[in-house]
Amino acid sequence: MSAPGTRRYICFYCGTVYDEALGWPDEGIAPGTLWEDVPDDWLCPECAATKADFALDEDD
Amino acid sequence: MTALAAPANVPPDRVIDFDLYDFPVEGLDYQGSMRALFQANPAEVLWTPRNGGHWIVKTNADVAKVLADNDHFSSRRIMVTEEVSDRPPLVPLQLDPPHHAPFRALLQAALSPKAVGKLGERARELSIELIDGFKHDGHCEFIGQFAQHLPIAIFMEIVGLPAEDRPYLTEIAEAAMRGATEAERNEAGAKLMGYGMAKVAERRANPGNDLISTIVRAEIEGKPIEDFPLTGMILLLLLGGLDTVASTLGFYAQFLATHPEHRRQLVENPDLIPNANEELLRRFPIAILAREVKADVELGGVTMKAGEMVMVPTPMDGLDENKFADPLTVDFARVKPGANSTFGGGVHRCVGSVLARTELRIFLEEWLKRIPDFQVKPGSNPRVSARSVATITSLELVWDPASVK
Ligand code: HEM
Ligand SMILES: [Zn+2]
Repeated sequence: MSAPGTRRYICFYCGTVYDEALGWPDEGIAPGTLWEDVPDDWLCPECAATKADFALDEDD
Repeated sequence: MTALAAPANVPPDRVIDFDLYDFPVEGLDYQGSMRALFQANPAEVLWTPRNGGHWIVKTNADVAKVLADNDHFSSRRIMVTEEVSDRPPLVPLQLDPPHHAPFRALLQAALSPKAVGKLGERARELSIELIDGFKHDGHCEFIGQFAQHLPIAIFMEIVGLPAEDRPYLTEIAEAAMRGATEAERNEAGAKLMGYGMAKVAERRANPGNDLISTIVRAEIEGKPIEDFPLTGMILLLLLGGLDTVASTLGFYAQFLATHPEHRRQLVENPDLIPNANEELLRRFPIAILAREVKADVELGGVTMKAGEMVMVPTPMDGLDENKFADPLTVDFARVKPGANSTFGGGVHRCVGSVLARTELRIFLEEWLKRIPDFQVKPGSNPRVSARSVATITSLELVWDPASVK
């Protein structure tokens, strides 16, 4: 399993990936932001699913 | 106009005359026509005496509120209608929390982005095969020759059904969803269930790696799933996964057939396709949902009483001008068109949405590569059939055989 800081989380509804290394600068989330530090009310930037709808990508 | 009878809790200024199963649709613009009818009355929440009498929400905020609030709005009834249905409840759709979650979890594993990745490649092969089969003809009936086949073949893959059953399943699924009369649809629906249950028995005896096998082996609260809810799950997969994708494909195809500029944009710049897919989903939602009021609740300035029905039209989210500027215009460069309720919202949000998105995107990619220019056949006059899933029943397309690739 990948180390904190390099994990990827996938949106169940649209497949959008949150990559900890990249963060989501457009939404004020700096590169390197750990998943647990992403605000709980953050929504999928593509389809507005909730943070709870993202699952860890177990592949890497 | 004569006054329309309404219960005492319905303020008279909220009443409109709207019949979901029979309202005037301008051309094929089902969604825009519905919106215009609702917007003609300025009130936030409306009520109609048709189909048993029901509320109508019509703003993006209210659609989201109703779908998110399981304490006041139950999905045990999901259609506005006076008819009583004897089909098994659809599982997990017609279960409220907390009963809903364990059933949903079973489907979620089979329809996760990762599981769908592999199915996507099958969907692509099949799309290419179908299109190559008729592209040199210069015409096709899009619904019967393409839109129905793709989701059925993918569904069969998920549940592990043999390819040779496809013609039979296509025929009964077609009749169950698009049959001319209620009786025809019911008869085909019964055949569909019979087929499903036969497969269940088969997989119980001989389990494989498919979704039916997973479901028949699963335990919920320590017990195997009984036949009744199991039938409801299979039926939901069939109803939820076939007609919805086919209907959405119909709206995509009619839009592209009538908008050469949009077509050209995607042909010249296929990188636009993922966002175009979201934009088309926003503009052409097909599901009209409903909930039963569980406990009295205030919404949009009215009191809804327990037992009343609320219609939740998914198009009223993506077409709300407070959420999306100029919402009737299709703009493939629109910013974040995907944040809409086309796939519902709350705990029942569509479990098949990654699969649906994949099938739709593949259609755009593979069709436009091969048949970049096409039109609705002159004089064919296609129509929308308004059920709780809006559908274009038949769509004749024509193109110049010399233009295909
Ligand atoms: C463009 C295609 C599709 C559209 C527009 C669509 C739309 C929806 C909507 C609006 C809901 C919520 C219903 C409600 O809350 O009353 C829903 C739920 C559901 N959909 Fe889809 N759907 C599509 C494709 C699919 C596919 C391909 C599958 C399966 C393979 C599927 C399976 C389901 C299931 C099982 C549910 C119930 C989920 C639950 O209750 O937790 N759908 N869909
Ligand atoms: Zn998403």
